[in-house]
Amino acid sequence: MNFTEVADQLLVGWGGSGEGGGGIESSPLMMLIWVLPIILFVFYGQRIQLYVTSGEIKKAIKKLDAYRAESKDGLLGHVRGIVGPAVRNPDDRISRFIDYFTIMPVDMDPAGIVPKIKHVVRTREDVTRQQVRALSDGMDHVQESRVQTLLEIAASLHMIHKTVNHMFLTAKKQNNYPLILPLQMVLPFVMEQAEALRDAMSAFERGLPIGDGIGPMVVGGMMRGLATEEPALHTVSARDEFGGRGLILLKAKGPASVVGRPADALHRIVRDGQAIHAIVMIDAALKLEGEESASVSHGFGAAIGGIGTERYAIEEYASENGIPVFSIVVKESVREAITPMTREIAERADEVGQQVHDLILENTERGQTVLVIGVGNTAGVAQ
Amino acid sequence: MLGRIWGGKKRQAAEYTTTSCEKCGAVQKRRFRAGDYVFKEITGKEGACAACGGGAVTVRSIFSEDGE
Repeated sequence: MNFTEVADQLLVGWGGSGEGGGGIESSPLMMLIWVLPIILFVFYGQRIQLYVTSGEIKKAIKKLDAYRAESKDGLLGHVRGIVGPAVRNPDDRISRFIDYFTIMPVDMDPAGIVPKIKHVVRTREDVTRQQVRALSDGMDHVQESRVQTLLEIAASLHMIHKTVNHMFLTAKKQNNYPLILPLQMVLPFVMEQAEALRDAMSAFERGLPIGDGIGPMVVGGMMRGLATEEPALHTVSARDEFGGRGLILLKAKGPASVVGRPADALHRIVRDGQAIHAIVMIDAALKLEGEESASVSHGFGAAIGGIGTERYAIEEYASENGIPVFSIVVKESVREAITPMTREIAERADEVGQQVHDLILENTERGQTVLVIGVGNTAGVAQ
Repeated sequence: MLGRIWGGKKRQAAEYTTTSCEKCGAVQKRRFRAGDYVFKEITGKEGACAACGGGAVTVRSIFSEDGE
């Protein structure tokens, strides 16, 4: 049998050239083969898609669960290492902290909501700090700040896992494919953040500077050898002179893992009678895809992240008094911002310091006072 | 080649500390040690400059880099 004969036989049922070929429309078996999947997909298409997508999401949830457990174990191990055997079983207390939630103020009438948000967030911060401090009398400020940051990371991973799992189980329970679509779309971004948070644990445990610490590193370098004050909680300031201008340098108090309270410090400095003619803020900023990591950009407006209350206070003061706010940002990815500082970012510190001086000379006059704020987490960066 | 296509083995990152001597300005790079932080002044035997053997050294930066 040669190739032509085999092909001829195969084509019998398809209306081919072979003897007895009746055509596709006359073969009930072939019709069934075509029609059945169509019926199947019309009525059960969504359910099939749900099963296929479920597999991917289940894998992601399993990973998130592992990250959540890892972060909790890491935190407990770190705390046990600090408090030692003197404190009996800190696990229960830590588990309770991880499950803390924050109810944001009602925003039906948004006027005046910022002080309310600030109050809720500050209450959470203060209470957590007190409870971490209560774990052991021997814990110093730096250790306490690290435990608090690790706690925040563990709580974030716990919340991410709970939320993704909830969305998935709800879609499965209702057999509702459209409900799972938004989850499938955001999952890669959620996983990127979760992986970055997991990797950040080891940086904070060991007291390494993170990418977000570039602002405090620049200002910390400018503060070296100067007398410092503490105008607000976990925030240090120093006075210097440059090119006939007065400089007030401000950053979080390192090398603890804190971000400080720059807005409170600004209000305190102003309340003490100090006039400010310009504000320069140095921070890490999220880079867009395609942008070079560790590239430096200049701009206008308050460069400060977080929930927005600090930014609001700085913007309000600046706009009321007509003070220009300049920003210098170092571009980083989400991962770079919270994991150990890369060489490329660290090497930018001196260059950014020089750019701050140039910016001050170009935009202010002799005799004026400039407030220079190094924004970000100052873990592993002193002054 | 195939390793690169399928992601391959991830390179391990290591953390380094750079120090500079206050006296001669010599910059040294070494592995990160627990207790290091940026702008820490290292005094005593450990802090002696490897180049001039004199002045105290200060931590200039700490960063992560792909290991060899």
